[in-house]
Amino acid sequence: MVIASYLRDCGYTVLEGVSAADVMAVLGSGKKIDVVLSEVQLYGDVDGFGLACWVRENYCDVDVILTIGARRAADKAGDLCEDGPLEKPYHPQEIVRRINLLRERRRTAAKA
Amino acid sequence: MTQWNLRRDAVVLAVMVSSRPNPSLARENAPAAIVLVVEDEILIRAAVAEYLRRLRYTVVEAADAAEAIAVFISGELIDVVICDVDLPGTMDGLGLARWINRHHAALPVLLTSGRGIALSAGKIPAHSFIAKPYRLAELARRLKSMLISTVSATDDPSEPEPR
Repeated sequence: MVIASYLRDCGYTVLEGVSAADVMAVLGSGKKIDVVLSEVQLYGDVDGFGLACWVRENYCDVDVILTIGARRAADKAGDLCEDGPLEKPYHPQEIVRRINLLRERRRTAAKA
Repeated sequence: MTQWNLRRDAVVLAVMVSSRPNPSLARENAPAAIVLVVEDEILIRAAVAEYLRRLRYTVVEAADAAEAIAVFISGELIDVVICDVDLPGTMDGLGLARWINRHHAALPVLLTSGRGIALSAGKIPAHSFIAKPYRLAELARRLKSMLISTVSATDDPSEPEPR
């Protein structure tokens, strides 16, 4: 996964999955995840939108970044991730910027 | 530059179906071997991948045989494959090992399974088998052994020594 390699080169720990079921399995195992970066289109019955809803309902301390290729679904994605979806093609640095922004918000909120 | 730009301590779970690895990126940044891990159970795959990355391997992950084959077709230069036998979809790990044997005959494949697999000569085109559950250290030891054997096998004794 190109973006995973990029993020690792940036120093992040990255796990790779292909479906919402993978995310549910990892989070359910208790492994600490700070950010879920997901495409809207995924293998399996649950798409990125459904996954983002599930994460929000069950793991409110985990942030979600959605990436999207279709403009028509952008509004829906915008409801599920605070800064709106990342439209493809995107520069990997934008992912890093979003992750940093989300992390800083968490830190600020924790201090308040 | 604000201070928080320099903090890279997050754990990211990336979920994508459409990205393929960049072969040139892998070789440029990784003097160590490139391992393809084919395992549908993400917790196992993630644990193996994380462990091997800590050992400085470059790891490419695939959740099934189709993804693994796509990795090869993309031009990724894999040095060794770890593959579970029980994969979802139309091709299991044995089928994938046969495909690899046909298209990349010298590529070592380490098969894994939670059930016993008969590895009689000629039937299973895999170079080794490790039973689940396995210790990650043992997996790494087997991997290293296979890589060393592959390098040794490619040395041609008939070639004249360089002067």
